[in-house]
Amino acid sequence: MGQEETSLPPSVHTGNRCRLIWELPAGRAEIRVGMRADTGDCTLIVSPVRWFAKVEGSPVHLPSLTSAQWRGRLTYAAMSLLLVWHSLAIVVASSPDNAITRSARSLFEPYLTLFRLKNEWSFYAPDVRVEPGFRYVVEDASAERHTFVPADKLSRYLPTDIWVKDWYIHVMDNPETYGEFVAAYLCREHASLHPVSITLLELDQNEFSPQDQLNGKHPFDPEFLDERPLATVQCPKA
Amino acid sequence: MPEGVMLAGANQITFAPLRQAWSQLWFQDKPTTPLEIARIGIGAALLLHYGLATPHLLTFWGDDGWMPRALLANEIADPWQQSVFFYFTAPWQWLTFHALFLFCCAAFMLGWRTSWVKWAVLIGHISYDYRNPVMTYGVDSITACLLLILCFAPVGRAMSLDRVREVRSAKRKNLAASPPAFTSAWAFACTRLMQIQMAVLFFFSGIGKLAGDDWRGGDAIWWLFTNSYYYNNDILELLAKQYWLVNVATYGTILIEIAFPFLIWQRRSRPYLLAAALFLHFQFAVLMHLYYFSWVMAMGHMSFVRPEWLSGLGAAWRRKMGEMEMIYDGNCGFCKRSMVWFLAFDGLRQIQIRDFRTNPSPIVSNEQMIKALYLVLPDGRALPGFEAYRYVVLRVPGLWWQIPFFYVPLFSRLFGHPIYNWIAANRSRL
Repeated sequence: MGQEETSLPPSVHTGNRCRLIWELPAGRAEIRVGMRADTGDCTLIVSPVRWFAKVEGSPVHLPSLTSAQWRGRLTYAAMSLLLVWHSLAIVVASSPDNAITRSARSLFEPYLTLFRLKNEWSFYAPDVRVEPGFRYVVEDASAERHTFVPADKLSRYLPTDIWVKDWYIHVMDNPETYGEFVAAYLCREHASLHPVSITLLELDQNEFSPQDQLNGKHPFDPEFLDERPLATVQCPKA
Repeated sequence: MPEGVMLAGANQITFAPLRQAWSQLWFQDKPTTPLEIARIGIGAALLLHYGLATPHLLTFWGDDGWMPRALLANEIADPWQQSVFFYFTAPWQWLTFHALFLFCCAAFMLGWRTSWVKWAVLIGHISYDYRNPVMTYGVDSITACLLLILCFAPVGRAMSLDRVREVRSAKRKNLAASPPAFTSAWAFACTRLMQIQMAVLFFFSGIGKLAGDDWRGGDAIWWLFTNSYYYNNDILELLAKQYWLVNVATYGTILIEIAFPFLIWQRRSRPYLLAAALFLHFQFAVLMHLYYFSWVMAMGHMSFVRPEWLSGLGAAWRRKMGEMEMIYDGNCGFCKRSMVWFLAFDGLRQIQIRDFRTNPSPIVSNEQMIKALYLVLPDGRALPGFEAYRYVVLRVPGLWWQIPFFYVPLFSRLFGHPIYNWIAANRSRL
């Protein structure tokens, strides 16, 4: 049986299943299409693939592809590729580190990094980290010490709250990198006090149990805090 | 039949079900409405978030602020981590970019020139993140992921000023014209991509928690609220007295996060999982003050809202508000131009129109119509001029942005009536 071409529109038959039916000179051709479970409507899935059907048991070509259909088919393929690529990328980016994900990440790395898709989504995991508190002490020319707690000035309703806290936590985690810079910055900020030195302090919070709360205590009471000096930096003379 | 053709044909038939399944999974012809809700919500969140950062722009992201370039080298080593700020040298460039970015966020939210402003918003957001990566947290990551998907998607085709422009353009040619709602297979594919993103996020978030003693032991929520970030004495007091709440909240969080990626796909379980996830984020917002994060996550979850639910909601709204017929003067060019603008915002097509010159109303006489536009309601009431507009703006969601003009107590009516009457009297000259 040779290739048959037709421009005849199909008729749609519904019953217990949806079918597109062509009445061709060589016989009757039919293609099953999707049926919506809820409404029973026939749905032609967008799929710019070449139509094939069985005519009396033998496969035949239905209308040949036009250039528009070729474009459609290429677009479909490109869209599918992008979807697969992106889906794999977000799974690989979040997957635990092992030999397979490491090699996959090397492939996806530029894409993930450029579009900032590299995330592990480990919110408060594996354990909730009780974040340390930050404060600093400014010593002025008369040897008086002024203690500042940046978090006290923040409002939980503004985004600056988390930005500033995150910044100081990063400083506390990396005092050797940021200590000197932050102290110099604070020297400038408190120039009116004529600071001589700045001492950065980390306050580590100890375990605070429900019983402590019931006993009227507070998680930030001195007994639950360990103060740890991070760095003391001399301010440049004005 | 040649053997090659036979094989090709057989091959096609064999793979046809696979192709059909693939198309069913990704390429259904659907509207963009779930993505549009995400666009509006994320655009609004970004506008507010970065707008509030304006006073700290140079401190947080400037070269003389908290992250000078010398220190940034410790954080950014990958050449693929790019920021527009890397190429700035003078403070005015930061300020100009920030103003432009906020403008793009507003345009993105409103859906104005969406096809290009969405990319500007994505580039801007990534630029802020990479200029000072120390100050970013989970919400910045999920925002970037959702923005990229919205950039891929054909957003701006509904619930947007772009759609208003499209409808207005059609109505200028024919006031009764009503362009069909946009649907596309690619819109559905991008919605699916956003769904996968949310499912992946929940899955890995849940799995990560299972590895921790705090979560497995059922105490994680207690530690969370003793944290200086989220400390609240009243909550801590309640949890200390009723410690079982800590266990329920801890295991409930894990349960939702693990169940979500598996049960969200089924038709029957989706509403429950969606409600649970939204409830979880509502609690993050209220109890932990994570407003921005919770809002952005909720917008990501909008991808699971079925377009049919939204169209059902629209139909219910139309039924509740009842039919409205606006009668206008078809000989008045200004009236027609005004109607074009007005109707372009009526996305739910609640307003019917009638030109009294060609189709006189049985309810409002032509003499009355000469003086003012009228709105006829299902109960037969006819509201003239300013009162007609005032009635409509409250009942047509696309016109809600006009409510402040029409409903300022006393002032709206005090000034609205004379302004409308003056325009109506001089409409032939406008």
